[in-house]
Amino acid sequence: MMSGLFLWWLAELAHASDPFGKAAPIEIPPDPSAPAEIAAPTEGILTGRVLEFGSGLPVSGTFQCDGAEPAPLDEKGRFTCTLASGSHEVTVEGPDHKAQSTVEMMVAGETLEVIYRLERYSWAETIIVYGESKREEVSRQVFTAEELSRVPGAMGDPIRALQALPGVARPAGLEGGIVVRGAEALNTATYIDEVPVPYLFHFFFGRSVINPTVINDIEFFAGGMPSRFGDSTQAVVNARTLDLEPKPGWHGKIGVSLMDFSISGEGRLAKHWTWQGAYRVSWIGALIGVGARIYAYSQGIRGERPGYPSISYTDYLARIAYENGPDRLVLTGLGSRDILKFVPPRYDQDGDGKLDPPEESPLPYDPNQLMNTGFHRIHLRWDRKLDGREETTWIATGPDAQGSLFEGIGTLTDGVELGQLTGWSFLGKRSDRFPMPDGSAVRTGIDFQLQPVRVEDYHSVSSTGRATITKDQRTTFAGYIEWQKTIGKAFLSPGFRGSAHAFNGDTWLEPEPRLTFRYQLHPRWTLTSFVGRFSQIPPADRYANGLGNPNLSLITAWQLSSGLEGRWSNGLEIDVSIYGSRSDNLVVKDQRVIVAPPAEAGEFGDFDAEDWDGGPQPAQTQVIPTYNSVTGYAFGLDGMIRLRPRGPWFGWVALTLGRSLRVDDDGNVELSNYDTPFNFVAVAAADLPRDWRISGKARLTTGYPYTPLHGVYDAQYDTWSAITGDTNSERFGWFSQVDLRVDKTWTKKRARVTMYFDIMNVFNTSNWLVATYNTKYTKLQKSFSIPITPDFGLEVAY
Amino acid sequence: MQRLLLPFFFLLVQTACFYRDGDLTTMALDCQIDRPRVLAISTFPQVFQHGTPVLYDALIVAPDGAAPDRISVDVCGLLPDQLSNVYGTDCFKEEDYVTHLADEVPFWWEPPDQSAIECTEPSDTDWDVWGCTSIVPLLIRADFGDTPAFGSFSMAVYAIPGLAEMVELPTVSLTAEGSPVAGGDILLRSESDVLPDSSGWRWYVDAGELSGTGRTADNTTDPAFISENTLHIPEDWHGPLRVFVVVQAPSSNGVPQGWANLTLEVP
Repeated sequence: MMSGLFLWWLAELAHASDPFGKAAPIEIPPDPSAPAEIAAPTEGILTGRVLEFGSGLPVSGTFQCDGAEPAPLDEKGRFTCTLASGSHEVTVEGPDHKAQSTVEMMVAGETLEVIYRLERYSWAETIIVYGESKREEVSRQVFTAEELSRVPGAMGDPIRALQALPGVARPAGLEGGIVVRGAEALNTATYIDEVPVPYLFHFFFGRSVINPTVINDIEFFAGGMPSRFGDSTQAVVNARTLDLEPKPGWHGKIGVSLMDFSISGEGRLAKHWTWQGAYRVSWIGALIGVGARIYAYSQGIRGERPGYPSISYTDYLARIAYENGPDRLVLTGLGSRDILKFVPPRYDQDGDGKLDPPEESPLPYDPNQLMNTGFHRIHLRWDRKLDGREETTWIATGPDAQGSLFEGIGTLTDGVELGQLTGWSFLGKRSDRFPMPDGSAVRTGIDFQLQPVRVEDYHSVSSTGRATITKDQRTTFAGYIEWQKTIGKAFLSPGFRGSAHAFNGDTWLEPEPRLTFRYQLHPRWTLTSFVGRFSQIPPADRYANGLGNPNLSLITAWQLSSGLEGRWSNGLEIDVSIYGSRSDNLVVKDQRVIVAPPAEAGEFGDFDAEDWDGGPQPAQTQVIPTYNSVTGYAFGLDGMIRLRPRGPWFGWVALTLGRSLRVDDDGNVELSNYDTPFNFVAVAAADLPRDWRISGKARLTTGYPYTPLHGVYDAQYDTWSAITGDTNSERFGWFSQVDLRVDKTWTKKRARVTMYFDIMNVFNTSNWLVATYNTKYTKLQKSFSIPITPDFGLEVAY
Repeated sequence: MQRLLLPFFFLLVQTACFYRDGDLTTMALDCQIDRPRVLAISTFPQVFQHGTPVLYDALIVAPDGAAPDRISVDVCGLLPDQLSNVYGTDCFKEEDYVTHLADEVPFWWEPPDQSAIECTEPSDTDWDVWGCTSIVPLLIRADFGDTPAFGSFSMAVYAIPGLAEMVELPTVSLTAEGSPVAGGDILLRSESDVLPDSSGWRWYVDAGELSGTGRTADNTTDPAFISENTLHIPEDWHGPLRVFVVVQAPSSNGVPQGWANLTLEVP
């Protein structure tokens, strides 16, 4: 019954001419006091409001009804025209907004009430790209920054909001990471304007490394990537920032939240020159330091400085662009830095009235610098569009660093453990699209990545005093060609990518054929299919000596998917896909035990052998992290019903039913860490009167698998220890969470102030996040779950 | 403010989640046989060296008196040509280091010949012997359907002939005074022919409450060779109700444990 009603609602929604952009005609009731004899009316009244798309704020501009003189909109964006029966063209525009013309059908004696929504020039938080109508891939979704930044629980971060899409696993904690269709996060390649970057999220808080104000849209492939993307075996996230179209003048925006401060701006320097910049810096670390000192002072502590943990992150983007005719030249600098450190306490032990200098560590690294991660890129890009031909050439370079002194931390599993990775990236790409005389098109391109890296493993420091160092030259050269042809109702795009990978002393030549097929069953319904092969170099820390497994090989994968798309002019979209994949040499993290000779033992082998005369030194056991090469299988169904932002509200419902398995060399079948058989997400956002906006998100998923521990009773000492059970053989309880977000905007002259209040986990649901066993290892108990968590911020745009 | 504190709570949790305190209350009250358990292990003699067979036994119990479907006894990290100190049970993850000993208890096992290891000649002191010793864990696994029970102890294996520690296994008796009735109390009394070590007496029951000291009774009881306990039988318990008591003799090696049990018939 419910499903029938739902389908009826969908059908009604789909067949409505435009239920969201304009209100239905209003019938005016007869006036009983009016004279009985009135001539039949010959005109109708067109009345309505002009609002800014996205923010819903009234536009200050003009309206023009059917060739009449332009008239100003009032302060609420209202207008009224009296028009003869028939069709009329209405044009509305504003100095900050793009003009829009619409043909309205007037009926004599009736009032037609409408709402027009104008797209603002590319500035502030309403940078909008209407989803691209031309579809050449199977699993691509383009979301506007406006849509994603209003997803509650994402802290206004459009990239983080991707975690609410079908096929994407929920994060284990607050951190980011786009885990798609049960693969590891490292199998999702991350790009900014197609330039590879090592990560997209600051650690801990999960804010993305790009200021949201400069993001135009985000291109997301859950699979089925076209040939222009390489070095990824599951998914691609490409944040696009290059659609510069600023209005005259310079404009800026300042944002303040509990965590950080951000500033951004853009403008036109001259006729052909534009600039753009954004910077964000956290102040949470400084706040903690001040708080620690105030607390110490309140406790009567004098003459010493308390220790405290300090977290800081920064990111920036600076850009200058030259555009003239078919050519556009863009120079961009961008980067990110994350530091987590413990600021040690300082004392005045010698009594000289001054704090003693910090003690120097004998270790080859700073033991207080717990995490140190960052990257920088200089990116020069040249685009040319001429006679239907498109050319893009770019080069980029910059340093990379990833360092962590943590080990086995459940929420930080994707990255270096107790080690440091440093390197430099040299990247480049050339791509062309040639229109062919028969209406088809050919895409070609070449790209390369050169990455000299150095990996330091600190596990050996306690026994040898030295870090184990691995140096490697990671190299990828690739070329691709893709033919795009429409034959009747079918679109066919066979492609071939050839990749040459070199790392860890070995070289691979990989053919990567890919085929995309689309067939229009009906004006609204399209059948899609994809099959293709992919390859990817594992991260350097995973095959480095000591820190990783030097025997790892190139990761390869086959993907197959087929689906159905439905599209309606009012913005309603339905996507359903079934997918399957096989990945070889997939890298998964595990632990292994070694019984190491004394010289290699770490934890217990640090005594001086020369002073030992009691016999031969014994070997010791060590539990060390390791990375295994397994075969991965994933299959399932994901679907989404989405209403694009064409009216006062938008949202989507996403459902994924899937499995993700791992098979080791011995044939043992285990669940992937992110195996999620059921994943449901619903997102809705609406504009309210008086410039209020509200949005909500609800998620219900199965819990993640975990490896159980069994209690071992030590009969000798009457104590309990634990032994690990079968990998991922148990599963946490269901995960459910509801998030809400409220925005309010005030506009005064050219300035606009937006306040937002984002509440994560509104119902304070206690989900499994960190769990520990009881003393006997008979019961797993929740140690910590994310409670109801408010976020508050203020943004001022000029 | 809550958001402000969240990351630091994370830090706290991350550093603390691998630490588990003793939870003495839970341990002391862990007297019920509510799951399959290995309650005790015994070895005799208390010396582990090539040429000296050792008898190993274990007290393995489960609710309703179920017997294990499978038993496996293994030792990990014992290398033929290298001394090793292996602590804990992580070592059993790596099959290459595991030596399978038996599929049942009790059983006899004799450590392998490790004379290839170059050790200093033994003198009159224990020091030289311990300097030529491997410390390895022994693990007993008993499977009851899908539910495993584990017991272990740390075993010092001498690569050169050691000082044989001939600690006798305790002989333990267990009696009950009075008639067991649902909802009533019954006095339990155990005697041992040796003075228990510092861990004292360990009491286990199918159900009910052991009043006073839970499963343990300190060994300051006078006389010290006797431990008494009172069992409060649940009001809804009818049928057999088992009681176990375990005593360990003092020893610097091995597990010289003895045990006794009785079954009360609750009408």
